[in-house]
Parts: sequence; C-alpha cells; structure tokens
Amino acid sequence: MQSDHISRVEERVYRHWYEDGLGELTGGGLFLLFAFYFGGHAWIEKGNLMGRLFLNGGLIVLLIGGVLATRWLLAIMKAHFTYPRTGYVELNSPERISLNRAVTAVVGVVATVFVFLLGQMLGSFSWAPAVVGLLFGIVYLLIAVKSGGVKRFYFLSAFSALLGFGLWFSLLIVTFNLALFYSVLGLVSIISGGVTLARFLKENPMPTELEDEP
Amino acid sequence: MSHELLGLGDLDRIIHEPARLLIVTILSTVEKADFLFLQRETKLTKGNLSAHLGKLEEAGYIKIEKTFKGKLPLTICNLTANGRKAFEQYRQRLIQFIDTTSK
Repeated sequence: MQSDHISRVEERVYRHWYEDGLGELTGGGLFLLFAFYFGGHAWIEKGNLMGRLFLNGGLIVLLIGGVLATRWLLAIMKAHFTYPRTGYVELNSPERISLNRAVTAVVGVVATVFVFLLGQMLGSFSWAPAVVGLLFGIVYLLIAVKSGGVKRFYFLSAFSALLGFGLWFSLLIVTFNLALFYSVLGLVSIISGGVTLARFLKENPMPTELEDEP
Repeated sequence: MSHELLGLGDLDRIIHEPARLLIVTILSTVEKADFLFLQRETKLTKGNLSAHLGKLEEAGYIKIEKTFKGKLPLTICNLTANGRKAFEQYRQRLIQFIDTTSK
C-alpha cells in the first residue's frame, strides 16, 4: 500500500476525532475561562497588590487546572455521546504523545520568552492579541490540514488571526483586549462545536440493538 | 525476472487480503480502536469483520480485548509489535515492487 493511501486513512481517523464538535465545545469553554481571567486583570486597579497577586497565581491554576478539567470533560462527553455511536478510537501511541508534549512545551516556552522580550523592547504589549490570534490561527490551520481539510477549522483559523489583528489596532487596554479576544473566540468556538455536535447526533443515532459483537 | 518481482511471492498472505489490509492499515494509524469503529471504517459486516479479526489475532498480529461498558459489549483491538513489524515489511515489499515496475 502506498504511503499516500496510509496518509488518507490517517486523515480519516484524525477527522473522526473532530467530527462530533466536542473538542471545540470544551476548547471554547477553556477560552471563556481565560476571558474571565483577563477580564479580572482589566477591572482590578493597578494599585491593588493583593488582587494582582491573586490573579497572577490564578494564571498557573487556570493553565494547569483548566487544561486538566477540559481533558476530563472531553473524555466524559466522548464516552457519553461519541463512542456509543461511532466507536472508540485512541489516536496516538504513547511515544507520539510524549513527542507532541515535548514539542508543545518547547514551543510554549520559546513563544513566552519571545513575547516578553519583545514587550520589554517595545515597551508595550498592545500587539499581544495579534500574536495570540496568530498562534491559535496556526493551531486551527494545522488541525484543518491534518484532518484532510475540515472547512470549519479553516474558518476558525482565519477568524482567530483576523480577530487578534483587529483588536491590536483597537484603542482598548491590552488585558481588556485579551479578555475580548478570548470571549469572542470562545463563543464562536462553542457555537461551531454546538452546531457540529447537533449535526453529529442527528446523523448518528444511538444504536438500539443490544446484540453481542460476534 | 528481478529479485523484487520474485519477492512478491513471499508477501504476507494474512495481511495481503484486502479487508485485512484495511483493518491493519487503520490499526497501524491508531493506538487502539473498538469493533464499532472498525466496522464503520471498513464497512464490513459484523460476521465478516469478526472472522478477519480472528485470523489476525491467530497470526499474533493484533490483540483483542473483550470487556463490557455497562451492559454493552466492548471489543478493543490493537496492533501488536509483531503486527506492526509485519505490516512495515509488507509495505516495504510493495513499495519495492512498485518502484521496480514503474521504472
């Protein structure tokens, strides 16, 4: 079998993971949590040290806890909605997961250091929404390409980048900008996931037969 | 006749059968998958899929784990190390053959 045929099978399996829209629904929820976090930053006065400390500590809790909670919720929803309808599949081998995690961690650290150094040099972080928008745009684009061209991910990719750049040129303060960015992207992601899930449930009714698998 | 062409005779017959080749290809791209997923992806009937899975298990190429999720039976399959090796060898043979015949 030629490697392009195997790639097509890989794409189909990868697409299967996203066909229920649950990834966008839970991801959108995580974005909304980030929106609350940055919204809190925008509302708390600069002189309020306790509030600032609480929020800065909250970022770590939000990052770790939010990601873990999202994964947990996604697993529960997949087990409830997806696996009984279209079957269970576990995508990556442990080696691949480790590699993906390592690459993500390195990219995350490099991007954070880059953003802070650039911010120090320019004396402003007003461009942060553009960078974040571009990063999420790239992530959505990678998902679209890897899944063999699922159109809604191209839309989310373009939307994220345009939203980020649009907010860069607005005159709002940066934390409010980021709160707005995450709120809008979160809502759009939830709507996209919700519509996809509704279609998925309609097209894949729960099997009624309880007969044993041979 | 070239060595590559003669080598076609040694192709792994267990994997070479189209339905089993599809099953093995799908399993090679994932960590594990259940019966329902494989049935949907291969479009085989339950009985047919079950028979092919049995042959692959007999050859030691896949591992089948039968459990229950609530009252529903759950059959989870994954490719063994032997299965991955055999599939890789099969692919290499086929690629060599295609390269030779397209020159």
